[in-house]
Amino acid sequence: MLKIKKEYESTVVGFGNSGLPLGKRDDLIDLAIIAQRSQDPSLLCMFEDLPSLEQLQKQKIEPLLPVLTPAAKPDDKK
Amino acid sequence: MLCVTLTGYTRPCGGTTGGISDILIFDPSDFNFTQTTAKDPYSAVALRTGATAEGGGKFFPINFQDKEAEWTWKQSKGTACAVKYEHEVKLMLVENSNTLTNFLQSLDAAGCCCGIGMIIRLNTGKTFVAGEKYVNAASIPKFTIAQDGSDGTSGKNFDDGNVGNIVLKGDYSRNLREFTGAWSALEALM
Repeated sequence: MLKIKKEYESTVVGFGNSGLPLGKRDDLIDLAIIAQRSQDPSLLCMFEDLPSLEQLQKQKIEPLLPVLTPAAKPDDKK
Repeated sequence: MLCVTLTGYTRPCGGTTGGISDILIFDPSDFNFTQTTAKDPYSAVALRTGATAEGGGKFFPINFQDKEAEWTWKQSKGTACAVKYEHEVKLMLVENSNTLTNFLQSLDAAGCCCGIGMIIRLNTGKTFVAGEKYVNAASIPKFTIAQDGSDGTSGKNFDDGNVGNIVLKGDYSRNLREFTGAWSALEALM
């Protein structure tokens, strides 16, 4: 769970589709990815415990992946 | 690639559109743009430490006459592979007035001191940045935009234009970078 430092919750960063204060945004993962890829210190300093870029990209993709249920084995039908 | 890394230029098949939809100006010292790699567009923008909206750190819209704004650029190659891009934005502002005089004076002051930052949204929806000063929290080589060559007229007859034709110019080493956020991402900083 990404968290913005308290002192930056009212800060406005224009990115994506909105310029809402950071404390009200639900797309912080996109800003976190931008921060990690750019290494922009003015963005990096806004996050508490920023995960690695790999972890962030995994977090972003996971909710989009379909949930796969194991196929029933032939024996299960008996 | 034994000598130079070239790239091709392709775009999705389809038409495009000319013209400028919106122009914003800003103090380049107030804003930091974030770029993920040196060739990527800008993907985020925020006020720098010390700049505040209350103190004038904003994007200011310019209400130009509809279909009367244009950005042009011209590349030239000088001595020893030196490359220059001459950028020019022309826009028509309606009515000579004290308000226009004050606006022109503010442009002159900015051009003399720290330059004028510009956000240009084309009718295609693509948004470009000119005159920026800070990227990834560090200053970039100077890109100074200033008012140079504006003129105006009262017109002669009742139905003549009473306008100022504003010209903003600046030379740089490259064409303009795009900003990929939506317009709403910039509106919060106006």
